[in-house]
Amino acid sequence: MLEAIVSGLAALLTPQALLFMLIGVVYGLIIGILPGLGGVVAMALLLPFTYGFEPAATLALLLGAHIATVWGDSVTSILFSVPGSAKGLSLCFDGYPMTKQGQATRALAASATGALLGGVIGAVFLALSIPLIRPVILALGPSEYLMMALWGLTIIATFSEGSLIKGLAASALGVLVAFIGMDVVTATPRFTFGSEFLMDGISFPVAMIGLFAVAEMMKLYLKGTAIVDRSLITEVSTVWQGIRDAFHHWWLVVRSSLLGLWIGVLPGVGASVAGLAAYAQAMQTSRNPEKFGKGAVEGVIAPDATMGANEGGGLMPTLAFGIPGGESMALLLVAFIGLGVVPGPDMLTKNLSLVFSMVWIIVLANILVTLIGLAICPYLARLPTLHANLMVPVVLSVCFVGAFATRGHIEDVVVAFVFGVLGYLMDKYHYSRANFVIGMVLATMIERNLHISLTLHGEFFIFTRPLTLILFILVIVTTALPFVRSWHRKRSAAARAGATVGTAGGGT
Amino acid sequence: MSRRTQENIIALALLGIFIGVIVMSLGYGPRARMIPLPLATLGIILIVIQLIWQNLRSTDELQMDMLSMLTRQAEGASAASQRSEEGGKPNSTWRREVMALAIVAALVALILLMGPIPAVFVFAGGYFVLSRHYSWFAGLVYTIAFTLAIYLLFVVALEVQLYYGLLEPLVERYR
Repeated sequence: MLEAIVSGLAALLTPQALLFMLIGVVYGLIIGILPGLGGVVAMALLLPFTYGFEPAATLALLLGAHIATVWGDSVTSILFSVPGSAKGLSLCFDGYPMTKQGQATRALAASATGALLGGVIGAVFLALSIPLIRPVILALGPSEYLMMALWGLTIIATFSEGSLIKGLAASALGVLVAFIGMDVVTATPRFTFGSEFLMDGISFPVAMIGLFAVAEMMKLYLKGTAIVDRSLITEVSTVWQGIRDAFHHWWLVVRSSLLGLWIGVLPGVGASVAGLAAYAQAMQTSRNPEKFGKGAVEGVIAPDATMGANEGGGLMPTLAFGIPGGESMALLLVAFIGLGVVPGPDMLTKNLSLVFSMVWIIVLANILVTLIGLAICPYLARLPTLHANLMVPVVLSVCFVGAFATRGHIEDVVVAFVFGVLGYLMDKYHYSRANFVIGMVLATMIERNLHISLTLHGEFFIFTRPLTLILFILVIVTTALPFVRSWHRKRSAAARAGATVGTAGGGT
Repeated sequence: MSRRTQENIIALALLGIFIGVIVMSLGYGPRARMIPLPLATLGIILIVIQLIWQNLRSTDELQMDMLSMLTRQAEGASAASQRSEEGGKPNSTWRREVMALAIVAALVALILLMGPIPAVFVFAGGYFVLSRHYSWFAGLVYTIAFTLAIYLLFVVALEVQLYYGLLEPLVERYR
């Protein structure tokens, strides 16, 4: 194994591989910052240029671009509350408030450092767990995946600030919107109103562009000034503060990274769920949960560390079983075919040096992204100070062209507009947009796995599969936890108040 | 229009959507409606509770609901933020909201009529000129630079196949 680790690194230390990685990272950062164009688009566009080169160089280009898009996505979430894809959603909750408080540089630096640490921790644990992870993946079936998706939905309780009922209604609406189109299980067109375009369903990036980017630009137009008015709020933070924050919360970084690695290993769960789960666990385990949503740096570090580690985890099922963990990993499989590499169990024995090359790419690409990110943080932090009269036309134009570019359907521009109005109304009347998005993300996963579980294990599958039952109990516990903690806090406060009255009474 | 009326309109619109989903789901097979039907029913229950709750509370407490009362989650902050958001806003906010909506709709209409790249040029240029934030010359320079950047990025680099707009047949006819 040690030999494979060394030869994997040696294959990368060629001028061609290093140059390809640099090109991939810079290109990925640009694509990541553009709304609607995430890692999948970045890899798909690079694919035709990868044939005929060394495997290590090809993978450095593809994986480097993919990893860079993750942080590129975080940038717009933090600066404008505009997530380029579902992955960046969790960064909006605390990253954007930090920007508005004049701490954009700190948030971006913490985000970049968190992603680096997450990526490295994820890669190290991935390397260590290669022999152990196979039986774990094989033990999980559709009923367990269903429970994990339900767990993702119950996290909603954590995000519903103000009105839980409105939050739950928003998530129900999100799930229903995801059902628009052809039902993959029964081949029934649902809620399509006879439209051929709607048969393909609502494109997720397009919905995100509308819900967040278009709605935020409408809000910015109403505000009439820059997102951050430097005459009122000065940029008070530095890059070093962000780096220090990430290292200061090292235990949160480790926990979040392992969570990201674990979710990445599960095929089909995805980084969007990972980011939200990381945010929820950071909030639930924080000593100051009340600061979340108002600019807590932990709310930036945890999702980024998780998403950094998630990329490494996603490689595992792709390499070991040929089962892609997500769309980007499916594209990686296509690249493997081009390179003449057959993924599967043999990959972990005969092609181990290539596997370790990929682990090294994750580490090196993360380092490169972070170095570039930290260098440009102070400049990126100036973007929110641009006046609304510049931002609104520029961002709206990029968003709508991006919406069109996602699938090449002009109808997607109209969909982005509709979701823009919906996003504005949801924000104004406090129906959580995050809950809506979580519902959309998890809907298909829940429905597909429910149908398969019922077919395979019968109606009482929750009770006949021990692992499913354990996960079901976990779902109930995590749902009840905010209520129990709140009740406990209230009781402690009442006890303290009683003690204070008692002491005061005793003193008189 | 009072905040309560606005909240009621939104809740009723959602109620309408959930009822519509139930009506449509009844036309699908049992497996196809297995999740949408109960979910929409749950949505109706939630919205009805919300409607009842928000009409029984004072305006200040509109951000709370029954579950918030049970959990005491963030209602103080939420109500305060609500007040601060509403406070000090002129009554003509809706006019600016309509204007914001019209601006976005104008861009969408331009894209549908002319295709993305000419629409971006007209929209950005028009916005810069009408907002008078920049001189017409600076506005023109920014517009050309921005449109060129969009073209290079999406058309040249990303090779996006362009849509030429509903006006294209007319242009072709008189060419």
